[in-house]
Amino acid sequence: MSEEEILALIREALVYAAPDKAAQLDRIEWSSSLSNLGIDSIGLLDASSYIEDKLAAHFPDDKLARVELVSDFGALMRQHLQSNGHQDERRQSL
Amino acid sequence: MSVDRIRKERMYRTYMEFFEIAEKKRRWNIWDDIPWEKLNPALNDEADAVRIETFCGVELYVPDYTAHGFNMSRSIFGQAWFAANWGYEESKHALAFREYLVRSGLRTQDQYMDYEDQILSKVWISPASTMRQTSIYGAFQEIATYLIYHQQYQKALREGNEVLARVVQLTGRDEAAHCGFYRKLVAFEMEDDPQGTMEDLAQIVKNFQMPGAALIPDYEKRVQIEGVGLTRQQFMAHAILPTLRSFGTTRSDLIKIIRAQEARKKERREREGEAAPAALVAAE
Repeated sequence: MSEEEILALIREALVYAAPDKAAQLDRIEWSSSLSNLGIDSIGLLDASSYIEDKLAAHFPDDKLARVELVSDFGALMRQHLQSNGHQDERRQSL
Repeated sequence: MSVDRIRKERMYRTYMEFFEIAEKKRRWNIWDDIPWEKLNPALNDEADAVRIETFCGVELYVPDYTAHGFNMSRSIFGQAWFAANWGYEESKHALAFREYLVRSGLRTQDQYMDYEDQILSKVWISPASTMRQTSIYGAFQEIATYLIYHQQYQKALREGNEVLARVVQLTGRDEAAHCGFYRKLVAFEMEDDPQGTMEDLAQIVKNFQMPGAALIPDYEKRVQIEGVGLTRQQFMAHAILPTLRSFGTTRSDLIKIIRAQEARKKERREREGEAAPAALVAAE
């Protein structure tokens, strides 16, 4: 997944969780703060659940709780994608 | 809502466990357990005043909180007696904060009385309309309050403010005990009616706000001061997620229920939207 695709998925998830803020969320950047975008705790859980479903992932609760910037979300996703990629590689080598 | 005898008996036993610990280990009083003689006004500033005044304001709604608690629970001994004990403990919190504000000179007696008048000119209305919702709301609100006081306890210790540290330590300990009691009640509800409890849980969490949010003067301005409230990360990490775990559920389950509730709401709105023009035509 490219960086653009990761950012696009985060945007999609946030719009899903907070459709009334779609216009603002359209302009998010890596440095955007979720609090400043008006994403509350439930919005964050909803958005992460959306991403988890799309990626068949499960983000650790303690790491999810620390998410504040869009880039924190990106880091969680990259971590999952990397470990998943490693697993796929391992499966192939077996 | 009628509660069967088995449940009543469980709640009675749960209350007795809570009350035994409260009576034997947790009781304190504002005269002997707070070292007022060590009060040093130089250790305080206006931000401390706003913080303590806000905590005091929230605790001052005890008459409304207890009225709601009693009305909801009067037919169930364990829960009604808990409401009485809870009200007693919370009333002591308001007293301790009031004494701290005035004795330290952070507020004059007149300033305090003006503030109290402002606070009590409004009435707290519970976001919960059943006992089950009250217990769920209580579990979140008590843990959040504990976390706020605990932060202040650590801050006061760092600053060498022994008196304030003791006040927030004692009040925080009570809040943690209240949270534990509510969590047990919600666990019973989960056993009896998991779906209904999850529906209530979703509704309470989605709309959760601290009791003072709509009542305390300038609340939005006050929460900008560090330590008056919790950050979203703190609330998530130390309140929402552990509370969900204590109820035996997960954030994914919660989100599924919230989404289903939202979908039902949308469907209802659409149905009503379609029905409205038809009703107008019929009226014509």
